[in-house]
Amino acid sequence: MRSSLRAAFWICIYFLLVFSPLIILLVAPRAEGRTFWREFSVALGYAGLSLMGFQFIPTARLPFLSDVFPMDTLYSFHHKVSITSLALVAAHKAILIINRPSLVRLFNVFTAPGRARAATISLLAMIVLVLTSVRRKQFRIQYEHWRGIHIVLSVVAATLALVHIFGVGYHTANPAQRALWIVMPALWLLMVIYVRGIRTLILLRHPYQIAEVREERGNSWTLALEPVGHAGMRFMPGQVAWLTVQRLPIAIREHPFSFTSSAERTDRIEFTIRELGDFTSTVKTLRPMQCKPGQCVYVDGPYGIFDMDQYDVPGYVFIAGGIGSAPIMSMLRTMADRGDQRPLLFLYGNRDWESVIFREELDALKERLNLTLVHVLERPPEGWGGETGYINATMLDRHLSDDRAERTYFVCGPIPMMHAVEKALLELQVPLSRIHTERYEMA
Amino acid sequence: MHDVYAQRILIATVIGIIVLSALFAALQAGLL
Repeated sequence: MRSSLRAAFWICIYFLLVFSPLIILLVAPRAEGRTFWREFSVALGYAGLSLMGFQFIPTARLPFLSDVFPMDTLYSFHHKVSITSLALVAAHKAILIINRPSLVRLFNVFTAPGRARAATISLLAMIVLVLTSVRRKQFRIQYEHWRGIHIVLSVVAATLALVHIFGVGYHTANPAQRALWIVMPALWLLMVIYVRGIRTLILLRHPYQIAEVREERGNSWTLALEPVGHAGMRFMPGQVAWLTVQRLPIAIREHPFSFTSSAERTDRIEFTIRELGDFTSTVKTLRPMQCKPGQCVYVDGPYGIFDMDQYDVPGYVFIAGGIGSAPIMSMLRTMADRGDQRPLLFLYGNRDWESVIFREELDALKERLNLTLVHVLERPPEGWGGETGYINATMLDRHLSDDRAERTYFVCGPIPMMHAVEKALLELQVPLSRIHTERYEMA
Repeated sequence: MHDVYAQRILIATVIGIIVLSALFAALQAGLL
């Protein structure tokens, strides 16, 4: 099935899942003596929970979803839907209280009945969940700690919301509605079992060992891994994987990175990682070592469709900023190994000349590829004759060929740069369908 | 590119939820 058809299929399934409680409410027999605002509020509450529960699915890294939708879009969608579900649940409570102010007493977790207490604690868990996700960096919560908090709060919020629904029993006398709220949580639980159980077992049977830790320019390090007891992993250039280094994969200490090595090699895979705090700052301390218990690396992947092999086009344009060159490097190395001579243009933005990651290798790749390399420096050295500042429409217009609408574009780097480049490309009449972007901040 | 579609799906979700909820509430309250 074509990927657009598969995407349409999964979007229909999403709408069906999210709207199902409301559809069941609509077809249920009409009750007597109900008021508009109370029923409206209840429906919003149901929809909020169905959206909240749906969150367990896109983040489960299910192959049939990650083969169709970009991972960063799935995660960005997850963030926005979570905020929407919180807004719906909050609206559910607000409308109830505005409609009947005496119900405010149900917010007192010490005196309220259990079903109301469950709802309040669930709402609080959702608020903390969203706040700690949106403001993780401002709150200075380490990524690994945040992952743990996130999983616990998600399960608590969803479980207590279900306790509330069945405790109140409003509309759950309807067998279809009751069945729905048993089947849907079973599906969410299945996702948790799959992520934390089945996939962990698969990873444990496919360990890797550290073959090399190489210093790169720009405060970055390349981690080279070799498979132990298995043939390694096939991936597409541009895809990502989640790494768990020297811990068991159940430890929730995994981090997403792009493959930087050639997709033509499965016996050795590489990831180039810039020091940005948390785990990324520990890469330089790693040393090559045999895979012994507690010392192995687990690679969960490959994921994503930021992948040049999907598009058979006359040529590619790569636009990257800083460490955003990591997936581009995998594409260039793969094309060089394949002897691919299609025309390539790479606009590569960096702060200064010394921090240009892969600088020497990119020069060498020009000999093996039909590659035009344009360095763009924010702080150029004295006597620099190349491009300076930030990549913009005027600069792109200078370098793009006349067949610009026929090329496929891969853009990766800091979010402000990606937005500016995407806007500039659209101004230059590049069709939206030809522009592929990858954000680095998924979580 | 996909972000544009994701944004549209989210907007459709919110509109769908509000419309279906209002429809349900109006039916239950005997307004329709």
